[in-house]
Amino acid sequence: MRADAILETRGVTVRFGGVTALENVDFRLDNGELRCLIGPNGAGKSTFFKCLTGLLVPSEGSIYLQGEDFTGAHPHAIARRGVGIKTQVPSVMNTLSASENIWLSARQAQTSREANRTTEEVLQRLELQDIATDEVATLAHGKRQLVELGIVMAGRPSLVLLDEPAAGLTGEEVERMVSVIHELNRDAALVIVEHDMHFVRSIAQAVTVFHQGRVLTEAPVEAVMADPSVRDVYLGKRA
Amino acid sequence: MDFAAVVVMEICYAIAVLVLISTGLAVIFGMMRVINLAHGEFLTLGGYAAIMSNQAGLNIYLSILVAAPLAAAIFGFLVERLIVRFLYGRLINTMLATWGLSLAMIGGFSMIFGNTTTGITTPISGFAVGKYQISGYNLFVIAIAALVIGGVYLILKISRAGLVARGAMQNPEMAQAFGYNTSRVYMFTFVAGSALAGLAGGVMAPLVGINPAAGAAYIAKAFITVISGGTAVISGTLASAGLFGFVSQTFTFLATPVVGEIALLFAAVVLLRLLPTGITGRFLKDKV
Amino acid sequence: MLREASLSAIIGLILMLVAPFVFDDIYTLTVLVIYGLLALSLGFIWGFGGILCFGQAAFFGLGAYAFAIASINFAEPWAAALIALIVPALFAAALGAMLFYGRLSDVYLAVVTLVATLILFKFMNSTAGSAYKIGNARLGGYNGIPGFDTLTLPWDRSEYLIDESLYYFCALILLAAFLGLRWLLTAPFGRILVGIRENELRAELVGYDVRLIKTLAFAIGGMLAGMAGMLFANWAEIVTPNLFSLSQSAEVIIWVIVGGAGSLLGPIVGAFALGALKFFLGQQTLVDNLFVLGSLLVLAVLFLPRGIVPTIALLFKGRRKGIRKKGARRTSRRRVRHAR
Repeated sequence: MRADAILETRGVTVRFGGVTALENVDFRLDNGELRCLIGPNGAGKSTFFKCLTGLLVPSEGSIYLQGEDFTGAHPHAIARRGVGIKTQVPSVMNTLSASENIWLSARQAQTSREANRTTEEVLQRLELQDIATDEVATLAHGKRQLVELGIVMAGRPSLVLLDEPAAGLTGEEVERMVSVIHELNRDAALVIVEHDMHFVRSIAQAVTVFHQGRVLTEAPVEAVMADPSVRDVYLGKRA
Repeated sequence: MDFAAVVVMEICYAIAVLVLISTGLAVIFGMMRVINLAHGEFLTLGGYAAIMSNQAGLNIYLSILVAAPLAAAIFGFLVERLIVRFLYGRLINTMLATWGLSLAMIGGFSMIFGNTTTGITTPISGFAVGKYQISGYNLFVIAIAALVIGGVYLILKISRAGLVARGAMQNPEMAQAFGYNTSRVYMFTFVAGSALAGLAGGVMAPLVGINPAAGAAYIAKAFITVISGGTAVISGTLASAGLFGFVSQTFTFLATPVVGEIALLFAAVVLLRLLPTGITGRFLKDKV
Repeated sequence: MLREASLSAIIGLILMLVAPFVFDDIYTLTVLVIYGLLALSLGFIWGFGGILCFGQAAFFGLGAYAFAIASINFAEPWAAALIALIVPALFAAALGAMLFYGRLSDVYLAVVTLVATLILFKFMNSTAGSAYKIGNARLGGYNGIPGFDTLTLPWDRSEYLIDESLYYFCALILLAAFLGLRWLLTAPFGRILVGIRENELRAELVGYDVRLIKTLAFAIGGMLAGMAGMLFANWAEIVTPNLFSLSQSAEVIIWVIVGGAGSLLGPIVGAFALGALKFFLGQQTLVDNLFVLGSLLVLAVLFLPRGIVPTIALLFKGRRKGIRKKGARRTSRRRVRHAR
């Protein structure tokens, strides 16, 4: 494995009972890279995402973060290694304020004073200052998504994993999300699971296509969109 | 040889008692995901009903097998309508409310019956196996436990009412769409579980004295038997009652009854530690 | 922040000094203070850690027994008091580690803590024989352990803490525990704990070891309950297995739920109010004590799920902030309480 791979998996396989959800996935991501995982429903991309976050332990295979074996590590250990994670459903601390949510994330690896500063900075970058003291339970869905990205940002990650960040957002909010993702990409490599091909085109240079638990292909986004086998997969024909 | 027969008898008896005292709770928990922490006091209520009606001149078997479950069923009906039905789907709150009910019932019993222990004599005399004496009533308890578990099995598995109940519990909206009144189904289930508790209390009354706080002796055992068994009413109860009955009786033989009880509780804690997902998963699947 | 803390310290001190004049039975007042500390211990782990322990009496009883046994063996009450904090804290840490590292859900947590209490209760009740002793201390079964040395003034070994001095000692400890927890909740540990209560997964995904933090919080709760037990042993001058009884555990939960689990003050108020009620009920024979307590718990769950203090606080806040916000807050807080 080369030293500049921030994330690498080898032969990752997940079985639920008799069903193989993920089979022998080899994947690598370079420092600073931004990659989208696409594929139809049930293709295994979410299962793969869960393996990367530590929420699911693969039946076989290994996962390396910056060359170190993290297979079977707990989510908190993975997060401490500089991995920021956003799950599909906004996962925030509901009765706390937006700034408290962000502060708790910052405080994990920083002193309280530093965390205060980081919180201010993140609120500013995401333009959330005016809702900083609002209880997040009272915020609209789009704002909650942003707060969660703020949580991710505050941890100063070198790798960010996002599961369907554009789901349920309005057109305007999607644009905002695209710019936030590019902002995150300045300091971190990203893996983004996404359905929406339009969204994928606007952010990614390279995509990995999952199909039936395997990696179907890995190529630049334009090439993938032109690939007839990928189109077949999306239209439901057998690849 | 005789000794072996006695040991087997005793183990069967221990299992039967666990089955008997847990089934009512298991029905309510398994079907409704409600943990009735006043279950022990429902048993006590059955015990008092049996003793009172017997003293009033009713035949002993009628007192145990009819009066006791009937009294508990009526009380269960009131409890369901007045308390439990407002708390469905909120497991912890139901536990707290029924715990309060449990304390209130203990207090109520001592106000009505006084803080003394009453009892009735066993209607069946013992017999000898070799040089050991065996209580005939213990055999009666085993038989009743077998009948109870068999009866619940038949009702759930075969009868239409059981089918409706199982369907309503698994998918209330669907059952409602089919025109079944799920609120009524919950009510009947709770009443049935209460009746089973009352029956158990009646059957146990000749063996143990009844006093206001007598339920405490049952609740923990019934509670952990049911929780460890999981939500499958019949197989769960049988499996955990079998295991715990065996463990507690074995340790009772090897040491003292207290050690047996402690061993039972210990086995439960270890079991829950080893098998948290199998049972826990069921909780979280339907509830969020 | 500091001003607020010193303000509540001053209010607390004034209350402590005034209370004996309002409620002139100092012996009962002392036990109310001890109950307040016990309720506070559960209020902390339940209200702020989201951990509902059905066996807080286990730590209470352990603290009391540890004090009695250590005091008999070492004839050094202050050392015994220290041991009475360490033993329940370690027991809570061990039990908590088993629960949280095993990822048992709420209901199992309730079962295991309840069963642990029951094991202790049964065990202590069965230790009547002379074979059961720790050092020189016979456990004494259901009769308990009488006749141990209680706390004295540290500088005067002949001056026992009794009556008024014991009251002031207990009240100072309660005040210290209250302020200590308040401080803890504004410190990073407390804020992280609340974050975990709100969203365990989130806390884990930003890198906190949820299992460890919950275990630590549980141990702190166990230690405070043990401290209450230690004080109780000094007050009652005897320890019996009833300290471990289920009704003792239930009572703590009732205090907290009636007072309100969302604040630190609520549980203390609940303990004082219901403890005093119990005391007055104890003086008459018409209505049974347990009957009233049990009915109160049922009614509190049905009609007052947030507890007295938060409800009152909410009324004040609601008047200031308007109704809409209040509704939002109510639903979100409720979710915490009923979480799965």
